[in-house]
Amino acid sequence: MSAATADFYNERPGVARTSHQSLALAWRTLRPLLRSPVMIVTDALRPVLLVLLFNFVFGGSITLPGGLKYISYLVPGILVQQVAFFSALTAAGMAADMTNHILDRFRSLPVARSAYLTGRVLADTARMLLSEAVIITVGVALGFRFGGGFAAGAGGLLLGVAFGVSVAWLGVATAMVVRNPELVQMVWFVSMMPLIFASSIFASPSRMPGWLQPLVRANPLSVVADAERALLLGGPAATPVWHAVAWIAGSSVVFFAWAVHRYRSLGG
Amino acid sequence: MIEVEGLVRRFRSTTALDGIDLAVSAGSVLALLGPNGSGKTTTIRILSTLLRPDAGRVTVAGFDLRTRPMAVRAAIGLTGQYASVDETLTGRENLELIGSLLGLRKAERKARAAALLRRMDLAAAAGRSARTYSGGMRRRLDLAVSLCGRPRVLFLDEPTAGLDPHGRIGLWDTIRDLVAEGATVLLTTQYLEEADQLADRIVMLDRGRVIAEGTSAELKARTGGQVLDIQAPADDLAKAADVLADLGGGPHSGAIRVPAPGPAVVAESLRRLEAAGIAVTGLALHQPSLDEVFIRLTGSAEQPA
Repeated sequence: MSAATADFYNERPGVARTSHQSLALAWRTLRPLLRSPVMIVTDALRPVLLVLLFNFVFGGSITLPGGLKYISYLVPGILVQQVAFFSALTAAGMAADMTNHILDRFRSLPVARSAYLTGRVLADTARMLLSEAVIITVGVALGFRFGGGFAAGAGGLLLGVAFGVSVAWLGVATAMVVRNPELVQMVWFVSMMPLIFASSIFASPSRMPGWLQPLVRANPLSVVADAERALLLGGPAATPVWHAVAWIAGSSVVFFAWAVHRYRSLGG
Repeated sequence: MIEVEGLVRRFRSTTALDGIDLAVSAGSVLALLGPNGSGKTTTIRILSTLLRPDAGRVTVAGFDLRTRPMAVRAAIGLTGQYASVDETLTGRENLELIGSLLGLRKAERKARAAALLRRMDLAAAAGRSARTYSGGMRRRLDLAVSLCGRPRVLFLDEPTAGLDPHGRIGLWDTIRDLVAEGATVLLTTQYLEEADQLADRIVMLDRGRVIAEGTSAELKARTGGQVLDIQAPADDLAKAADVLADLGGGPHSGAIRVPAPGPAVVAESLRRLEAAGIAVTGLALHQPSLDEVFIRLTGSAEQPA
């Protein structure tokens, strides 16, 4: 690299350069996955198993208000559970890059500061989309139907991904605090488990003990699952969707800011 | 090419760098020599923009580290103490990824990856995942990756740590080639021999301070220099010490040790011993070790790790 080229390196790389670098880094995260059929199949199989297990193991013993079929209730819930699950992978992947010193490599290159984080979140967004497609396919095979029409259905899927992305920012921020890949997965598991099960994802809160109900209804995963249900199954959607959008927008801003702050402090 | 003035870096209560001054002129090699914890890696991490300094002024390739970090990154290559390549990617993919991040067009990055793989003797393993590479191959891939942007300044943090002698010598040759092509190199090492082999100038660090600076010969002279150890039958040792006494010779762990700044001393010692009828059974020239250098310069018996 000649002196002149180095001189032209803007301290703030433009949008084109930054997006190109983000895509290169997203590709780098997905590449090993695309090469290994086992990993792709595992990735696709996980939501299939969840839908099958919950539908056939618990489905029979869960009675829902209004005589709703359990598969219809379950599919929107699993969508939320799966996208939330991906943030664990995001966090573990980033922690591994830190302990393997690969992140140092990227940070020592003339790469936009935001490119690594966006690249990682982009890669996981692609995986979320794959898993959403799988869940819908299995759901439809078991009797799930879009009751709210195409636009509402597409909006529901988009909402799920937006929620997944906001939690992914929390994942990368956590990774930069915890740093150890195994530990970060454990921290994530322990903190996400109660949120996932004490929510409206798998079961209706109306049959839960009275003291638990307010907690379950306040749980952001319930808020998003309820909005998802309203959009995918049909019915009055405005209120739950606005609640969910407010949650997602708010948490995205906070988690994104925290992630960027942690990333900037890496050289602290 | 690299200028460092009064560099200070603290980690909580410990001061890792306590006012370091360095200057590396274009096309030369400077070795930072010191034990673990002396501040070598911290210096490299700051100079390669990975870590912020608490105080001091640094310019690399003419760019101020604080105001032009991106320009510095565009001018440098970094090979870390731990090979920072992506193990899940193949050797070729690792190089093409870096090329892509640097904004090279597809044809150009493929050509550069192929050329670097050939140069680093990795062409046969180019399509294998880096996880399957040996330590030496991984280090060569790491170096190839850091050469992707044609850097003018190379930072090599303990480049041969953990390599076998064969790998070490191979990497030394590669580094020499790079310098011959005009690269400026700052490397860290714990091995005096490595600094001796590669560096034009050596800076010795201890606890975040520069304790000595100079060419390899200058530093060795400060530590007493080369010695000659002569082995002889036990019965003759006292007599041998006597014969060599005026050369500064004396008993040293079952042998006679004579300070030997040049070959003349060796010839003279052998001539005298032969004249005295003493059969020499063994002969060895010793360079001062890093341990000895450190003990001499720091005045402490702390062992370099």
